[in-house]
Amino acid sequence: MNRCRTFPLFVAAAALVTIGANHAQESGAAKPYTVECGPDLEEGGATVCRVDRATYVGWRTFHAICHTCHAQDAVGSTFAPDLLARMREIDKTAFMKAMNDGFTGQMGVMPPWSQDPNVNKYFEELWSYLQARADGVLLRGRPKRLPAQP
Amino acid sequence: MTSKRFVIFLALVVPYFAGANEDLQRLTADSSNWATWGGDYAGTRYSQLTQIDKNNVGRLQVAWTFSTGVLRGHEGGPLVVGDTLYVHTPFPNKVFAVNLADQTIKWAYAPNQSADTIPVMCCDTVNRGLAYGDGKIFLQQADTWLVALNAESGEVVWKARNGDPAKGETNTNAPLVVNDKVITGISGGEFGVRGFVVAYDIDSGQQVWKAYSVGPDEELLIDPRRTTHLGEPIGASSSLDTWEGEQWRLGGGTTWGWFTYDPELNLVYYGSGNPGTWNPVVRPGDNRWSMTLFARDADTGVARWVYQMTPHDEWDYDGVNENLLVDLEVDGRMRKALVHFDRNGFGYTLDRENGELLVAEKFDPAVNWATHVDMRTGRPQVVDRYSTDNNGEDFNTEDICPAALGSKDQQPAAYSPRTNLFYVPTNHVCMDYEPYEVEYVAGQPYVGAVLTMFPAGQATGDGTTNLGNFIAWDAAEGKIVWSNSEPFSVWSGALATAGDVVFYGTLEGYLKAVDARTGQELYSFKTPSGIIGNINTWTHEGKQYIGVLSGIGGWAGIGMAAGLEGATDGLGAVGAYRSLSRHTQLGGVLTVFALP
Repeated sequence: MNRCRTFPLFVAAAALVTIGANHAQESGAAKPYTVECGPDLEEGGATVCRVDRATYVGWRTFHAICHTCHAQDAVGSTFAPDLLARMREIDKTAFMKAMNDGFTGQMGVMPPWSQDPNVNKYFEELWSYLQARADGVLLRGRPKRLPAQP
Repeated sequence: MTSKRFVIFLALVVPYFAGANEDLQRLTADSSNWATWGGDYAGTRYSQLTQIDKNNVGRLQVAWTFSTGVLRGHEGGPLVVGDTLYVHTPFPNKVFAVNLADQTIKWAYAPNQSADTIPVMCCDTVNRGLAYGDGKIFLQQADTWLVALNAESGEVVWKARNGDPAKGETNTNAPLVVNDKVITGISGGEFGVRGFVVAYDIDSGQQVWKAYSVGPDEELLIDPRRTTHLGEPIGASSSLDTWEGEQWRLGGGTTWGWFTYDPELNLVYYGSGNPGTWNPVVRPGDNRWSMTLFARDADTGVARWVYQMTPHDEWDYDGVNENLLVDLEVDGRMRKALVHFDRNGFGYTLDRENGELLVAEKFDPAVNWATHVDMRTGRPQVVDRYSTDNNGEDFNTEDICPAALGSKDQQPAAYSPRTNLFYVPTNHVCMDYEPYEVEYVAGQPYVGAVLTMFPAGQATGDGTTNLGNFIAWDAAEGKIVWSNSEPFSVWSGALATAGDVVFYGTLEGYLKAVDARTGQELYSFKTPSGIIGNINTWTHEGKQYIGVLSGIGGWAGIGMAAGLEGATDGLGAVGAYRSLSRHTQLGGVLTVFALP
């Protein structure tokens, strides 16, 4: 697990986004997600992230299936890696290959997800969610949906 | 039943049971052994040994250690029979027979299991331990093979295939030897597996009986006229009538918990797990007999009585936790009682002869999904606000207590006849739960709910951040007597001794000894890894030892990172410090303690 290395990044990113809403897509190359974090009046002023449809669906799929090994918010468990660190090491091709074919790691075995209809429709969405997490843009916890784009 | 009575009772009754496994009953009556997972058939995890007592336990020292060579979560604990200790590991489920005289390895068994089994185990590759009987050690492998090993040589005597991992069927439970049979269950509650219990012949490994949790009467081994629910015959089609169409075929009710046995009544006790998908909206009805306590005749498997604790589950409150069989005075009357601390947060006391419900009270004040249990109907009175079925699909129901982990999971409690108290390792975790529609594919996860978990204090608003408590419980009154707060869930099995000491382990890795009457901490030692195993005790050459497996993992190893840092509070030192990985790392080690 790489929590120690991840943590300072997470703090730095979090500090940025808590200052005000952050439009990730506006910074540099196109990102597979849109995330806006900031104080939410509905939640008593607590910081809440709002995300696009794909990132939301990715979050949901992750916390229905993937979290049983990789833990809530993709931070990793005793037997499956912290995906915040891992996502920075692999590209989309490698990610899709692992999702389709499965992956044998140092500790555990991830099954192929190509035959699971509850997962295989959402590989792109999972990519969006995990990228947003790995970039430190999407904070922990349940995100809300951004209004649908016109 | 007190241990003293147990001894007398065995002497009188055993000869009348044809085929009774006198060997095991003799061994469990003698506290110098630890011959079955619960110390005795009643699952009390109580030892009559008195060398280590509350006055001297503070001087406890490590006597020896043993590495299992396996990294993943180590549940269960070692068995000791005579001068040999038998210890198991998580997948690949190695077994070591250790000579207590010099701690050399008499034999080792290392099964060759397919790695395909690993991803169909929902929450780590744990195994809860071995069973001993008739000169054999029984190992219930992850890949569902039940293996009988010669206790002297480690040679395989027989093997029986109990299920099919390709369908999501696996095993994590410890088997139980009863008379001339070996009883075992099945895991796979998150894969749509239909649960069952099987009795195998102890000599040949042939299946003697098999009883499903849900489905047609004949497959349930239920007698509609004689099997009772709260005193009433359950009638025909009691399970089928509570499912829509063919849904019972994916009806769950897996049986991955602990088994206990009353030799006098010849009844085996266990509970069943969650019904099918975690999405309650798509499976209307009570979904019988998921989430149910069963009392079955050991010879035939036929159910004497059943009691469904959580009809139509909406929260994943599996009913598989252990059932302690103790004689208690309840409302002025001695009862052959059964005491069960359920995932749903209620501590139940029943009459184990007939299944009469005597007490049902919350053993964590945070429990909020139901106000109380109606003592006439046995039904929990569900609070609408926390009903994930009422709120519907794609709706996030917030602040449900307890979380799916339960107020207590498999970590078994202990009972001391000297204090008449039950010692219960508990979780103090709540959750948000959002059901949604899923498709079933054999061998793929079949869940259908989005889950987030967090410390109970976040839901109750009482400002606490602890994730666990270790409590003493009065099962006649249904009341907490004392409660020790723990920063993390207490996920280890407890041990009570006649020295008036109670032992448990913590996720940071501490073995703790506390005063049985007050809960005051008397001793603490940090073992090499977090403890999710059970504390056991035995003697060798007249000296008392305490042993525990450490090795962080299991569901506890996932949940611990969860919810500690919310979007707002995660930036401070508190959230980071509390992350479990700052306290402990992986590694299976048996640590054995003794007085100097």
